[in-house]
Amino acid sequence: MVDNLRLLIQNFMFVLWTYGGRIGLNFGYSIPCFSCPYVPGCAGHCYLMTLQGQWGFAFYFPELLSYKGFKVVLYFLIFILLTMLLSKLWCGWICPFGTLQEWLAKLRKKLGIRETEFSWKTRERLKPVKYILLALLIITPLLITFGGLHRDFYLFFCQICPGKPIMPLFAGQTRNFALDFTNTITLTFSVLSIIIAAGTLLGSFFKDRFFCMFCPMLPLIQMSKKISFIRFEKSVHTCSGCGNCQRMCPVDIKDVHLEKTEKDVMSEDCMLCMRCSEACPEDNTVTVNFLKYKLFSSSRKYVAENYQQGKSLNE
Amino acid sequence: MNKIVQKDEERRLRQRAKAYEKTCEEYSYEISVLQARTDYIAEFDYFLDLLTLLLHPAKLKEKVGRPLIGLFCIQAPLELFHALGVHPVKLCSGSYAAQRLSAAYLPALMCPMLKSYIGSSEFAASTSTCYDATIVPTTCDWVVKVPEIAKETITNLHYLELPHVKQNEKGVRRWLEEIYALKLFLEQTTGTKLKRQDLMNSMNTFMRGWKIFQELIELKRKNIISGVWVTVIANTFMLDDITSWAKKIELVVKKLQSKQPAANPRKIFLAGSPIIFPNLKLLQLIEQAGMTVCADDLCSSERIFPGATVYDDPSEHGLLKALAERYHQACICPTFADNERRINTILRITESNNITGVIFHVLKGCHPYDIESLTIEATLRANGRKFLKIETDYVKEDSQNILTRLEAFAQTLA
Repeated sequence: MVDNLRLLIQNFMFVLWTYGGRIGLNFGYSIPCFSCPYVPGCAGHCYLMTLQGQWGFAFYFPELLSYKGFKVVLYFLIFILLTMLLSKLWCGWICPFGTLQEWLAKLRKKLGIRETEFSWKTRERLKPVKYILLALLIITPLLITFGGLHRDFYLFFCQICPGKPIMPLFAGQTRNFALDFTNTITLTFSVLSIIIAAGTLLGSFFKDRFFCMFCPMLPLIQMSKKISFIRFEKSVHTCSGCGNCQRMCPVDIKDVHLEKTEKDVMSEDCMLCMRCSEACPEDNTVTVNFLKYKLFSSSRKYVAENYQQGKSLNE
Repeated sequence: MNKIVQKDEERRLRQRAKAYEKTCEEYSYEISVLQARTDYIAEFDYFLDLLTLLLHPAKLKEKVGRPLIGLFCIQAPLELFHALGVHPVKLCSGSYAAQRLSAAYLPALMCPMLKSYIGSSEFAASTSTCYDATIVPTTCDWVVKVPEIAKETITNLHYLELPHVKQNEKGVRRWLEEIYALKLFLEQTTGTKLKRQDLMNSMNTFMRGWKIFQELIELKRKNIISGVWVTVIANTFMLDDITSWAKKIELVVKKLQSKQPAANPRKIFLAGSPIIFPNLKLLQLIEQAGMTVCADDLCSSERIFPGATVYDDPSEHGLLKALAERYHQACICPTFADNERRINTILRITESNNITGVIFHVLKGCHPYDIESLTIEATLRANGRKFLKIETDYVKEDSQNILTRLEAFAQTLA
C-alpha cells in the first residue's frame, strides 16, 4: 500500500519537476533532489548546481556583502529548511532521477532477471565515492575563483552528472549527448558524461538505485539529520532479526537489520523509501516519525495483508 | 547357531510388533483424551485424523498424491519442495512406546524425540521406502548423528550444512549455497527442473498458510483457543496438502472468532524443546495447574512457519535468496551461536500480551536448549518475568512431581 502510494507520488513528482515550468511553476534553486536545470521547463533547480555556481563567490571579498553574497546564504538556508522538513524523503519519494532508476529496475523485475549483488565489503568501499564527489564539487569552484583553474571546470559535477544528458531527453532535448569540441577540457567532460550516463542507465537496470550509491546529495541531506523533523527509528528490543528489511532495501542497507543498540537507524545511504518498515513483520519495530506523529510503523498485520503477493504472480 | 540368530530375530520382530501396537494405542488414547476435552469442537476432527498419518506414511503419500521427502528440523525451505512437486514431511516423533523400543541400545542421555524417531523407524508400517529422500540440516549433534544410527532406514540422505553464525555475510552466503545444493539434489531426485513460476506459486501458497496460522495464534493469545489445540494443529502441519490444511484452520478460526475469551490471569509463555504429539504431557499438566499457554516459541508449534517471506527480486535467485534468508536469519534454534535476539521474541510477546510467567521446557538430553536456558533465565528475571525450567523425559512417571512444581509456580503468578 505504502509502496503504491510512493509510486504514485514519484510518478507525479517526475512529471511535475520535468514539465512544471511549462505551466509557470518554479520552486526555486535549492531543491534537494535531481530536478535537473538542464531540462527545459523544469519546475525547480537541483541544489547541487546552485551550490557549485555560487560557492566560489561566497569567499570572494568584493561580493561578500552584496546581494549575490546574501543569496549564497539564503539558498543554503532554504536547502537546510527543505531537508529538515522532509529529510531523505526527497530521495525516496520525490527525486525524478531516482524514479527513473526505479522504472528501469521494474523492467528488470518484469523480465525476471536477477539483481546484481555487491558484497558487503564492496559496498563499504564504494561508500566514500559520494564524499569524494561532494568534496570535489565544493573545492572546484574555489579553485576557479582563487586557484586559477580553467573556467571550463565550472559546474564540474553537472558536467559529469548522468542527469544532465538523461533528464532533458524527457523534454525532447538530446543536445547534452553531443561532444563538445571547444577544447580538451570540454571534450573530456562530454565524453566522460556520456560514458557515465550510459553506465548509470545500464547499472540501474541491473541494480536497484545504482546511481544513489554515488550521489553527493545524500551526505548533504544527511547533514541535517540531527535537526530534521523526520525520524527513522528502530526498536532494537523487539527486532527478531529476520532480515526482511535488508532484503527489501533497494540499496541493501544492513544497518537496520543488524543494529542492536542505537535507536536512530537512518544511515547515510538510506532514502526513506520505507520499504523496510513495510516488510518488517514485528509490530512497531521500524518507525518513521514526523515530529511526534507516526508516518508509518511496521506491523505483522500489514505484512500479512500486503505481502501475500498473489498479484506478483503476473509480474 | 543359525537357530539362535533366527530366534533372536524373531524376538526382535515380536518386540517391534508389540511396540508398534503400543504406539498405536498411545496415539488413540491421546486422541480420545483430546476428544473428551470440554473445548473440543467438531472442526478439530480433521486434525485428529491427520495425527495418525505419521505412523502410516503410505497412507499419507496416497493422501497428498506426491512423493514424500523426510525432513528434520525447520530450516529447509518447504516452498522449494512444494515447487518441485514433492511433499516434505517432518520426521519428529513424540511416542513414548517407540522411544522405549530404541532406548535399550541408544545412549541414555540422547534426545528422547530422536530416540522415539529411531524407534518408530523400525516399525514395519513406516518403512523408509515411503520416503524418496531424507534431508537432515546439521542443527544439533543428535540430529547430525541420527542418519548414522538409523542408516538402514534412512536412504538417499542429504545433509544441509547449517552455518551456526548467521549475522554475517559469510553465514548468509554459505547458507544460500546450501539452498542451491538442496535445489540441485531435489531436482536430481525428482528428475524435474525448478520453474520460477512454480516457486512463486508455492511461496504464495505457504504465505497464505502462514497468514491463516497467524490468525489462529491470535486466538491463542486472546485465550480463545487452548495452547494444546494449537500445538496439535501445528503438529499436523505438512501431514496434508498445505492448501486444504489451511482451509481447515480457517474453518476453526471462523468458528471460534465470535467466542468470548476465557479470563485467566495465569497466562504463560512456553519456551524450549519441541513438544510433539502424543507427548502432550507438559501442556496438559500446565492446564491442570490452572495456567494457560498463550504463546510459545517451540519449533513444533508456533515456529512451524518461519514467517512472512517477502522478496523484492522476483528472479529465481531472488526467490531462493529470500527463502534462504527467511529460514535462517530469524530462526531461534539454540544451536545458533549468535542467537541473542531470541530473547527479544519472548520479551516482546510477553509484554504485549501481559504474560508474566515463562516456562522453559527441556527434554532430557536436549543440550542446546538446556545450555541456553541459563542466559534466558537471567535476562527474563532481570526484566521482571517469572521463570520456571522443567526438565522431563518421554515418561509419565514424573507427572506428579511436575504438577506440584507447576502449581507452586502458578501461585506466584496470580
